Amino acid sequence: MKAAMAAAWRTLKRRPGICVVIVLTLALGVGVNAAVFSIFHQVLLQDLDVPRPGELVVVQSTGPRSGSISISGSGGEEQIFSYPLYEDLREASSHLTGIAGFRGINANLAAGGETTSGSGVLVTGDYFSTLELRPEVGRLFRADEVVSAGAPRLVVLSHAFWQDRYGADPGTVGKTLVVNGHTLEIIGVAPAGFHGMNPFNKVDVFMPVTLLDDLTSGINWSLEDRRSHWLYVFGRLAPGALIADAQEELDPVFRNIIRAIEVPLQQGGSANWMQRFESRNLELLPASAGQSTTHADARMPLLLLLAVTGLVLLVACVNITNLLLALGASEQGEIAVRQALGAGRRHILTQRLAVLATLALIGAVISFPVAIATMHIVQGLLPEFAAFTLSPALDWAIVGGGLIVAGLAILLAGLVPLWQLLRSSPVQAIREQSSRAGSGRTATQFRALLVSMQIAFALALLVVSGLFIQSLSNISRTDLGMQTAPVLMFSISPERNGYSAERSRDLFQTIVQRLSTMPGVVAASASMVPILSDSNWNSSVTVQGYEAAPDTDTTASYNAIGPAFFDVLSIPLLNGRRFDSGDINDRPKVAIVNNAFVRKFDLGQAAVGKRMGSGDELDREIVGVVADAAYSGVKAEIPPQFFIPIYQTTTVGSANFYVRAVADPAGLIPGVRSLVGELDPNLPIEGLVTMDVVIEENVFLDRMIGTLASLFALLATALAAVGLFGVLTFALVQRTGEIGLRAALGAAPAGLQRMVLMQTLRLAAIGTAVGLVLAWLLGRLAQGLLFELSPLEPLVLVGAVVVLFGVVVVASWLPARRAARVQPVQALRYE
Amino acid sequence: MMKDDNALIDMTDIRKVFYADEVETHALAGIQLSIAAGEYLSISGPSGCGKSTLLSILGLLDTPTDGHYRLNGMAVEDISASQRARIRNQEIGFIFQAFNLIGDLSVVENVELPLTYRDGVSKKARRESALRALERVGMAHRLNHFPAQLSGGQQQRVAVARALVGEPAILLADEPTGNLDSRNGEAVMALLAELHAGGATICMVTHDPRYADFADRKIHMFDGQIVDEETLHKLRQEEEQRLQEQISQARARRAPHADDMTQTPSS
Repeated sequence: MKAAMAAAWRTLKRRPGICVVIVLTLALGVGVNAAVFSIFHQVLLQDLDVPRPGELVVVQSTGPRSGSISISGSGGEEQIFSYPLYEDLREASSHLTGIAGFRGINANLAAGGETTSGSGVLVTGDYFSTLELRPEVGRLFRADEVVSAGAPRLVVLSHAFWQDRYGADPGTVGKTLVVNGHTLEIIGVAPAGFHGMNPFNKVDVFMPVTLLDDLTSGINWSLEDRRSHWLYVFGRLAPGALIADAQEELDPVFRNIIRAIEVPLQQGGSANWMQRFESRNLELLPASAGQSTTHADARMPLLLLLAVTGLVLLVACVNITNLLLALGASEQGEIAVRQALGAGRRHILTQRLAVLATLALIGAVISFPVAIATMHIVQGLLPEFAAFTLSPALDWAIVGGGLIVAGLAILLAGLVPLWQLLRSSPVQAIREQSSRAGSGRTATQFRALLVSMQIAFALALLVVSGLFIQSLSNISRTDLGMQTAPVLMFSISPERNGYSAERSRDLFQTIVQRLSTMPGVVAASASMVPILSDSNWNSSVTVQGYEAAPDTDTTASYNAIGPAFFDVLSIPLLNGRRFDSGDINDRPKVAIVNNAFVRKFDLGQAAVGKRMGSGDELDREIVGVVADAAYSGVKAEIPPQFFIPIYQTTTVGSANFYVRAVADPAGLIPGVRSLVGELDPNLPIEGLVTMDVVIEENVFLDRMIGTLASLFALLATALAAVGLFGVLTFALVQRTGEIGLRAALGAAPAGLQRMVLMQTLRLAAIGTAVGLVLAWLLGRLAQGLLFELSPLEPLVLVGAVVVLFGVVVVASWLPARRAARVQPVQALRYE
Repeated sequence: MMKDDNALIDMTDIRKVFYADEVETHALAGIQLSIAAGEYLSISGPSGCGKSTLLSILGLLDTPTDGHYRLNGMAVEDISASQRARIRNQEIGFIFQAFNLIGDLSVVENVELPLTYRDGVSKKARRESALRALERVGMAHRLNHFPAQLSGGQQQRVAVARALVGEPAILLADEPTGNLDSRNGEAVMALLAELHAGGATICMVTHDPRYADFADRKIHMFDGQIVDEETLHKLRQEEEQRLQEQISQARARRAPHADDMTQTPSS
């Protein structure tokens, strides 16, 4: 083995150029795959850092719910429950050691004279015991102390928050922390590595769910109301218990609760709706990786990226196969001599495997920095709130994945060259080949196959990247119905600092007034719901003159806005009037609706003057109609919307501000900071960015996949071009005799050049046909991620084919020119 | 050598010098050669004498460093690469020692090859010409085989068919029997003789005197020059003498060792 490794090392030293290209190709192919695999692992497969995470289960129930439904990134509607229902289920199963609930909230955290905005979680008393967590310091909540509303006034810090804010001081326990204006005693610190059940929400503090009313003013969640759905519920299986057993036990209990307690509470639903409500059942799902919608949202994009990088690796493998064939050909003489001297196949095989192993090892080691660089690129493409979930460090996934993938790739790439080497006859190799007859018809076909494969893979990737670029272009051309530049946006939540609703409202008015008079500002306004930030506030509405059929969807999105909202965002007023400073609390209630609302509720030309309300009461007069403008997302369909004056509500404790600048809105940032700081130095400003950034973050997934797919497609195309060039050059050397013969028989130089080009283009045509099929398959996988685009978009397909043929022509031009310059007399080795 | 104005090939003072690593090698040193239409000429000589270089220049595969060359009345020493390719295609048929068939192409496709480089020849006409050529060499029954499926003799027959298919003015054969056993070698020579009897002009390089005798005219080369038989004989004798002297000197240098051995006393 030692001798084989020494011989392998000699081979590498003898052919440094070819070996460097093999190693770099391998490192690039393996590196991007290891990076994407690591991301895939971190996002989708990584278990929560709790004891025996495989025992955790999520509780869910599909079917209709009435009343208020509030969901977050921890799960969809099917995973949201009322607090009383959670309490009913808590003691119902012997197969579960615990059932716990939680809900994330925004939290202003004040301590030591500094207030920051952060993330908190309201947890039930058995949250930590169900997770079987031990505190880093202090203690965690006990089930028996989280019982009565308004108590206990305690808080547990996350490990990261404890480190960042308190320098990991064990003396922190016993101190107080002001959360959303309420002073709570710090009783302990959660263990390191645990950020909550939702691994994509970086939690700072854990508070008892019984403090709900204190900590969440303005949100209609309830500890008593069975029609208030806001709590996420999970459990832990007893040792040895199966999910099916626990579900079988819990489901009848749930159904009984639905029939006996919940059905009588439902009102106004049609018979069909009631039937669906009654037939709801309970399911338990594995939750070792925690509870988050990101798992479902990220699965397809990550699978697509895995497929894309897999193709990059295949292109790299094909390249390496070609290079190994060339390496093998150049070593054939030496191997033949060794065979003639008595070396057996085992000896030759060991030596060649040693060469492959050495190449794989070096390639894998170089792939580690490639992987980390790739992960840094990915992290750079993510907005701040998502970037923390990725750790671009050398973890076992990168090292293990890199070594395994490199080994498999080199083995895959080395199979044919190895086989070719072993089957060669030493006599043939030692002797100068005396005839072109039979000079590798199979080898020629194999090389042609490799070229076609490379072209197919590269084309598929080019098509996919083209689709995403086109999709991004479609997104950027989307008519949002408003002018978002040059506008600055930020939020404040005074209610979380203990402000009353009236004080908050006064503060919002003052901020808007002072912003409006700032130099460089055209106009300023505020809204309750941040636009283009994936926030959706919907309400069932009643509209004068509109008779809703049973089970008809009568919901509309809504927002509470300041007077100049439509001016700041340049949303055209089509009819009626805007809100003004007179639309305040004690004045008649008014609303403005958009065109989609007018269409949905058949208001026609007579919308202005009609009455509407959220609920059954027609308590608002529609005073204006505005054009349709985007609400929660750039890609989302513009929903029917109604707007109410922000100063006519009593529950707005947080507001989002929009400032239209004369020029660059980023120049206003220092002025905005000092303005808010002057009014309340303890009021954290959140998300102080231009609307352009808001829009970018709203479509970050599209941008990330588009950018990565383009980068990987470029890499694959470059590898394919290098590979094609290498194959053609290698083939040219192999075919020098043949080309010389053709020249001797009268082929003109231009004809020979044309011949090589045409042969390459024929292979490109075959590769294109296969590549288009592959692209179609990948396109179907990506369909859900494309915006207003078919996976068979002709412009993209044609563009990708044109680019690829351009690359093919460029890559084959030099070998073709060399073919034209082959001197027949040299090629035929006369002298 | 007499100059013949009607010669198919007419070479005057052809020289070829190779330069490699500052070393000048005079492969051809003032060749005068004329070949008439219908003639069968053999060129022989020791290895490295320049016969293959001469054949390369004759076949327009290479260009002379100096001198004049007229083929079928046309001066060809300074024409472009494309023109040379066209003349090779139309005027010259090559038969190589190593057969040089293309392994990826079938027998008939190999034979058709020269016609594919000729404008205005339809696919059908190409195929008919190839079949006729294969019939002439007795290989029409193997037209769909690949070269690897043929014996050496059969491959050379196919190579001859390929040389004939374009009806060239002259066939240039470079050691056509070099890779064949004697039986196949004789068969190929018989085939060339038959072609010559049919009117073909042939110029063959060989170092085998038995095969050189098949030609109407034999020329000999030595150190890049054409020499007559008497001069060749004389030069060979001189060379042999020099060799014998070197052998004697080498033996003389070894002799003292032998003496030492015999003088060593036994113990």
